[in-house]
Amino acid sequence: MMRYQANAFKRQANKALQDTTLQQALDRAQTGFVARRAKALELVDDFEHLKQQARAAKERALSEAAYLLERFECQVTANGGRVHWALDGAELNRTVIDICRQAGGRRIIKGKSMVGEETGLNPALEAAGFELVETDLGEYIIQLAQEPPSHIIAPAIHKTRHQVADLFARHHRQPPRTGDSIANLVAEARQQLRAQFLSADVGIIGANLLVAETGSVVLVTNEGNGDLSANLPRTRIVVASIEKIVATLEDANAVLEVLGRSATGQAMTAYTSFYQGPVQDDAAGSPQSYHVVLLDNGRSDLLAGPYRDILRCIKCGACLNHCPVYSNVGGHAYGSVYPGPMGSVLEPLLHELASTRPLPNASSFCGRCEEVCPMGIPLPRLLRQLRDRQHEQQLEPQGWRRGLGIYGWLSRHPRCFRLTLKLLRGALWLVPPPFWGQGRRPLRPAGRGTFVEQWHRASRNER
Amino acid sequence: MNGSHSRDRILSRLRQAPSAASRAPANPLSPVHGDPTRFRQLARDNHIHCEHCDEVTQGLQRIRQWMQEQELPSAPVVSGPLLSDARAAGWEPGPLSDLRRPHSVWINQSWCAVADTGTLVVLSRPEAPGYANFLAEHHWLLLDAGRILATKNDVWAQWRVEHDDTLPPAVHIISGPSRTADIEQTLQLGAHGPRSLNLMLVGR
Amino acid sequence: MGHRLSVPRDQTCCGQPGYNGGHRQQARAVARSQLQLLADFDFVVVPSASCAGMFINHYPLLLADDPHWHEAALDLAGRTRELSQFLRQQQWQPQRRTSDPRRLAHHTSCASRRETRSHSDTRQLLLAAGYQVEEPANAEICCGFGGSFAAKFDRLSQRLGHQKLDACAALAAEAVVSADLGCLLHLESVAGGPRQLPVYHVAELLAPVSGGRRTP
Repeated sequence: MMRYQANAFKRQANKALQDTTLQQALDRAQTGFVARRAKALELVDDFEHLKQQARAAKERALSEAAYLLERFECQVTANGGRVHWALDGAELNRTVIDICRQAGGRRIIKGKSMVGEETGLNPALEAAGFELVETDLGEYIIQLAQEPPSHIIAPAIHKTRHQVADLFARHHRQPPRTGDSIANLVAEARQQLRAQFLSADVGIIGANLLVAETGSVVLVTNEGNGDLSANLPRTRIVVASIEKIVATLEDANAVLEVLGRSATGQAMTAYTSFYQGPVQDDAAGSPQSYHVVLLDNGRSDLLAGPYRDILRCIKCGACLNHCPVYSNVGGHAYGSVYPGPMGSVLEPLLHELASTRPLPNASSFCGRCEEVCPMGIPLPRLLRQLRDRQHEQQLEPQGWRRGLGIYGWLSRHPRCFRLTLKLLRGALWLVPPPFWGQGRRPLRPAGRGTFVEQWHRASRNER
Repeated sequence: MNGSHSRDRILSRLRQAPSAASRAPANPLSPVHGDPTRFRQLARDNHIHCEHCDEVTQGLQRIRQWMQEQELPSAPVVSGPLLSDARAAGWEPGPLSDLRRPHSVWINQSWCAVADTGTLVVLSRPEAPGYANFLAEHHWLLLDAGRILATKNDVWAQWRVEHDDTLPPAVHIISGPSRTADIEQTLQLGAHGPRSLNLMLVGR
Repeated sequence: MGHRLSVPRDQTCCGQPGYNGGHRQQARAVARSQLQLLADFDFVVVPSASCAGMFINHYPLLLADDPHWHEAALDLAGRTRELSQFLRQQQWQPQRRTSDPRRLAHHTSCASRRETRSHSDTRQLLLAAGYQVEEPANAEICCGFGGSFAAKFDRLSQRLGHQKLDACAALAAEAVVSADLGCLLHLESVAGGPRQLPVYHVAELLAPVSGGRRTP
C-alpha cells in the first residue's frame, strides 16, 4: 500500500507536479467535471434557489439532529432493521466485524463509502479474515492497485486506461483482452464483479442521506453496484456518518436537486434508491438481515462550534473539481482521506491539527470552492479559522511566526514601516527576497522611492 | 464500550448544540401531473429508449419483437401481475433466476414517472424484488401514461394519496441504464447493471 | 472629477498577511489602526482588489465581536471602492483614446471577481479608453499568488502562474493588465521565456489617456 501523509503535502504535491501521467489524468478530469456541472446549471432556471432550499433542509436537520437521528432509528427498527452507534472509527469497524461474524459470512461486497475510508474499514475487515471486494469500478481499480482513493466521487481519477489495463491483466485470471478500449475494460470488470455479487454473504454500502421520517437510507449511484451490494447478499450493512440525516423525504429531494448537478452534472444520477427496510423476496424465504451503523467520529462536537458549516457538506466533490490546488496536484498529495478544500477543513477537525498542518495552508484563498459549493459552506473562512488555531497552538514554522509578528508590529508603527520599506527597497536592488523561489525572476523596484514618497514629493513640487 | 453507551453519548453531545426551532414545511398534499412531452424528451436524454402502446398485452408483444430484433434468445423475466399479461400475450416468462444469465431481460412495472428529470420510479415488492432491476442485462419498464408526475416531491405526495406514510422496503428512482465514467471520465453504459433501459408507455 | 485626493503618509497595510496567516489578534490591531486613519474620508479608493476586499468584506468579520469597531468597519466598508469600481461609479471618461495598439489580456483577479466584484468595471474602463482587452480562457481560475501561499507552496504557485500566462499568450496578447497588485507581482516574477509578457496595473494604462504624464 502506498503511504501518503498530510504533513508531507508539499513534497507530495511537488512530486505530483512532475508526474506527467498524473497531470494528463487531472487535466481531463478537471475539464470534464467543470464543463458538465456548468452545463447542468445552465439547464436550471434558478440554481441559487435550489441551493437555498438544499441548505435550509440541511440546516433544519442539524438544528434538531438528535431528535431526527432517534426518529430515524425508531423507523429503521420498525421496518425490520437495526441501528448501531459508533463514537469513533474503531467502534464502527468492530461493530461491522461483529455483524459479519454473526451473519456467518466470509465474502463481502462493498459499495463506495467515504465513511469506510475514514474508519479504515477495509483493512480492518481483511485483518479479521474476511474477503472483501469493492464493487464501484473506480474503487475496484484502486483496490487492485492498493492505493487510497484520490477523489471523493471518482476514486481512480488519477489512473489512465493503460494503467487500468495493466492492473486487470495482472489480477484477472482470464484470456488477454483484444485491445485496451475503455469499453473492453468496463466489460471485463463487469464480468469479474458479477461473480462476486452473486456469491457474497454480506453487502456493505454507504449512504448519501438518511431520512428521519421514514427511516430511509438514500443511495445515489450511476453504476448500480451499490444497489446490487445492498440487495443480493443475505446481510446488508449501511455505514453512514450522523450528519447525513435530513428530516423528510422532501428535504432529501432538496439535497438531491443540487447533489447530482454539482457532482457529475446530472440532474439525477442513474440510480437513486430509498431503502426503508430489508429485502423482502418471495423466492428467498427468510428476510434479509439489515443493519445501519452510524458514525460520529467527532462530528457531534463540531455541531455547537465555529466549524458547524462543514457538517452541511454533501460530498459532491465540486470544491475539489474547481480547486486550482487539487486540480494540479490530485488527491493523493493531500495524504488524507478527504482531499481538496472540504478535506482540508474536515481532516484537521477529525484528527489532530498537528498531523494535518499543511492542509489549511494549501489554499490561495481564491474563493472558487465557496462559489461552487451547493451548500454554501464558507470554506475559505473555515480554513482561515484553522490557521488561527494553528497559530494559537504554535504549529506554524517559527520563522513564519516571527516574520508575521514583526510585520504586524510594523503595520501599526507607520514611521518604522516607512523606514523598513525604504531599507527593503534598497536591499531589493542587491538581493532577491529570501522566500523568492527558484525559477522566479528577481524583481527590481521601479521609480524613486515608494509610491507614497513619490506622491508627496510630487505634490510638494506642485505647490 | 457498548453500543448503547455510544448512542447516549452521541445524542447528548448533539443536544448540547443550540437548536433553532425551524420545522420542515408541511408535506404538500396533492400531487401535480407533469408534461408528457417534456418527460419523454428528458428520458431520451437519459439514454432511455421510449416506445408506446395502447394496452399492456400489446406492449409485451412489442417487447418480444424488440428482443428478436436485438437477437436476445432467452425468455424475458416478469413477475407479479404481469405474469398473466405475459401469458395472455402468448409467451411463457422465465424464472427470476434467469436474470443471472447473460442477455437477460427483466420487464417490470414503473409505479410512476417524473417529468422534471425524465425519471422512472420503481417499487421493490416481494414478488418483484429490487435486485431484478439491477441484475438484468436489459431492463424494460411499463408505465401507465397517466402516471407522469411533475417533480420528485410529487412522487411522495402521490404515495401519501394512495397509501399511508409507510413506504415499501425500497423505492428505486431510475434515470437511465447503469453507467460509469470511472476510467478516464469516459461514459460507458452497462457498468454493472442493465446495459439498456427501455420504457413502454401504456395508454394515452 | 472634482475630488480632493489624499494619500495618507501613515497608511501601512490592510493586515491581510496576519489575517490569512492565523494572527487574528494582530490583524485586528492593524485593522483598528487603519480604521482610525481612514475615518474622515468620503471614499477610500484602493488600487488593489485584494486589499479593497479586506476592507469591504473582512474587517467587519474580523471586528464582529466589538460593537464600536464593528460599526467603524461597516462604515469603512461602505466607503471603500476598488479603483476601477470608483472610476466607473464616478463616470470617468478618457480625455482621449489610446494609441496603444497592443492586445491586452485582462487578468481578472480572484479578489476582483469574488471580493469586490469589480472585474467588469476594469474591463469597461479599458475598453472606453480604446484598449483591445480580452479575457484569457479559465479567467475565473487563480493565478497562484495567494499571499503567503506563493511562498509556502512556491512550485505550485509558479505552475498556476505559468498556466495563467499560457492562457494569456494563447490570446496572442502582448501584455497583461490587472487591478490587483499581488497577482501582477507574482505574474511578473514567473514570466520568462515564451511567457515573457509585460504586466500593467490598470491605473498605468488609464493614466496616459487621463491627461497623466507617464506612458507605460
